[in-house]
Order: sequence, then C-alpha cells, then structure tokens
Amino acid sequence: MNSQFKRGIVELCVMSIMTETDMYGYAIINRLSEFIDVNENTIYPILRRLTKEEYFDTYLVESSEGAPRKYYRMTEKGFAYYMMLRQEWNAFIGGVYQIINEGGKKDEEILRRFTTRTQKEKHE
Amino acid sequence: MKKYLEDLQQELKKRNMSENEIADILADHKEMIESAIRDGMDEADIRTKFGDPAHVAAELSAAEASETETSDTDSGEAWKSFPLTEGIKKIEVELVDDDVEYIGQSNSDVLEIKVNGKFNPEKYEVEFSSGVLKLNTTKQKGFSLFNRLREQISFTILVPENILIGELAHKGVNSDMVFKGVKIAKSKIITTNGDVTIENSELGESSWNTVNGDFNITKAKFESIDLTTVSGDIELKQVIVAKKFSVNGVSGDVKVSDTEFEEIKYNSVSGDFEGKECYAKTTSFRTVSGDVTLDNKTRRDGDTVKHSSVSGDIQIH
Repeated sequence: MNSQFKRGIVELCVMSIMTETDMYGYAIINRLSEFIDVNENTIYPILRRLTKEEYFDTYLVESSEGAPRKYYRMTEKGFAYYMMLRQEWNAFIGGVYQIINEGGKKDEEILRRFTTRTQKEKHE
Repeated sequence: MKKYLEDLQQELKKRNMSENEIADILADHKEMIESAIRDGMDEADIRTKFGDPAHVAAELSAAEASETETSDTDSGEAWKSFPLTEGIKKIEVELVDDDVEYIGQSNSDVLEIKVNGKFNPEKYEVEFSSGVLKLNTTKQKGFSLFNRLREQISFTILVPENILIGELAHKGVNSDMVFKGVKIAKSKIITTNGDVTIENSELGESSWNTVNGDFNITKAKFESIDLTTVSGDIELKQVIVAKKFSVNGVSGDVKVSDTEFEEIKYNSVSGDFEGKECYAKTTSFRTVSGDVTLDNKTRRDGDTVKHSSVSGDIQIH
C-alpha cells in the first residue's frame, strides 16, 4: 500500500487512542500492534512529529522498577487537529463505502451479478 | 537492546542528523525498550515492535527534512501578479496549513502573490477574474489526509495600500493570518488553530470563528466584530469598533486596552475579560466562572450595563 496513505491512517489511529488517556511510548505501540503491523508502520516517528507539532506534549513518570517513563498527552491543539482528521476520514470512507457497496453488500451477490453480466456478453 | 540502539544510531548518522537529535531519539528508544521489557516483551521482538532501524531512521529523517527545507527560504518569490481594472471585490481563500499575510503596499497598482517555502504550484489553484481572487488547494476528492505533505508554505498577498477590498473570506485549519495596512469592508474568518494578527488595518464588519486560534489586534478599525471561540484568546489594543463587539467563548480570554466600542456583548463559560481604558456605551457580560475586570481612568457614561456571572468576579471601576 502507498506509504503516505498508510502513514495517514496510522496517524489517525495514534491520535484516536490518545484522546482517551495519556500513554507511554511502548504502551501506544503495543495497543496499536493489536490491530496493525507496527513493524512496518513505525509509530515512533509519528509520535515525535506530532509532539513537534505540539499536538502532543510529554512528561516523565517515575517508576519503582526502573528508569522513568515518558508519557505522551494530547494537547487542545492536537484534539482540534484530530477532530479535523476524523471529519476528513469519515467523509472519505463514507464515499468509499458508497462506491464499493453500490453493486450489493455481499460478495456472493457481487459475484452473481458479475457472472450474469459477463456470461450474457459472451452469448451476444 | 544494545545492538538495536547501535544499529539505529548508525542509520541516523548516515542520514546526517544532528548530534542532539540522535541523542534524543536514542534516549526515547532506550526508555521505550526498557518499558517494553518490563511489560514482558521478549528482547527478540524489538525489531517487530519498534521497526527496522533503517526504516525508523528513514521515516525520521523524512520528517526532519521537510521541516528544515521550509524554513530555508524566507524572502518570498513572486508567483502571480494581476492588474486591477475592477478593484478587488472579494478575496476567497481556503487552505489547510499554509499561512497567509495580507499586506497593503504603497506605490502599487497590482495584486501580487508571493510564496515562501518549498512550493509545489500544482497543489494550489489561484484565479483572479471580475475582481474576485480565489486561492485554494487543488481539490483532492474528499480526503486530503494522505496526500497532505508536511511542507508548510506561506503566501503573501500584496494589495495597493489605498484600495478597499469588498469582502474577505478565509477558511483555514492551521493557517495563520496576518493583516497589515489593508482595508476590507467585510471579513469572514474560519480557522481551527490558526492565529490571526491584525495591525494598522480596517476590517469593516467582521465575523470570526475559531477553536484554538488567537487574535491579536493592534491599531485597527472595525464596523463590528462577531467572534466565536472555544479556547482562543483575543487581544485588542488601540482599536475602534464603531458598532458591536460580540464574543461567544468557552475558555478563551479577552484583553482590551485603549479601545472604544458602541456595544460590548460578552458571553463566556470560563474566559476572563480584562479591559483597561475600554469604553462602550452599552455593555453586557455573562460568564459562568470567568472574571470580568474593567478599569477605566476617565469615567464615561455608559447607558446600560448588564452583567451576570455564576462564580466569576465582576469588577467595574
């Protein structure tokens, strides 16, 4: 898949989970890896960029078991940006669904229509 | 872990990243990997979870590169120039991230547009016909999230100093706006995060809508201002508003000094209103917890002053 395209989706996912709670880097990666192949969609560069853009800020939390953990927190600016991304995403995905479901929602139905059409053309 | 960090360091060095950046990125990775191991990740899975070092470095340097390139150029290159036979009836701008400066220029009789930063003209559409200027990003069917490159650029729109622009409509998300020495009869600004700076300008009837954007206004004249804001702040210095100044806000603060209005109507949840030498014939302040302070040295008779607040402090001197 086009990498720019994927980057956009992963960014949307990262922002989405960050609206709920502050998280440390690995927790974000781990959460996303339940759904996405994170090895291919490296998360850290996205976190770093979103932080630089002030969509996130960070703070350290001391841990009894080792070095402090760096938490990421969504800023108000980040939330506004996320709202905009969501809007764009919904508009886009709505359009995509409309197109791909126009010929029926179920695979069998689409297949049936396709075969009847192509067979009819063969006979003609 | 050591091997992974070393590989990453190598890859970052290859891409000419600065020492500071590299140290920062490595420290973040050390922290994340240590966290991961504490959370029970197997060290063998480092690459699957954090990505191949070469890939990570490439992503990071791509983001970095687009940042530095944009700040490189600053003088601004001339892009378009239009003769003004019918004046400027309207300026319509719709941009996502790009900043725009509107500047009044003396000894000029053309409308000029300059561009700063790494600019791809194919991504923008501009036209000027029958006195209407339109500037926007090329329509990318519905979804621009994926094609949005980080390369932010800025436009400077230069207009003759004394011309009155009929109308301005600027719609942006992160796009900052600057107005210097321009006259506009009617302005409509919609922005999510973009900040707006107005200096030595007249913006007529103004209707503004923002989530986070701040407004900074100095030495300017308006017919009226109607502002809706969530958390954006607004500051007015040496401003004249001939009619109504109306603010509907959630947490944004308003700061006013040396300014005259006919009427102030201020509604806010927790935003504060602070006025110094702030004169109006009619004022109405309503807040839930926002404080209102008016501090005027000379007393001028205001007709009606209505105010209410649930827990905010209202002080009018």
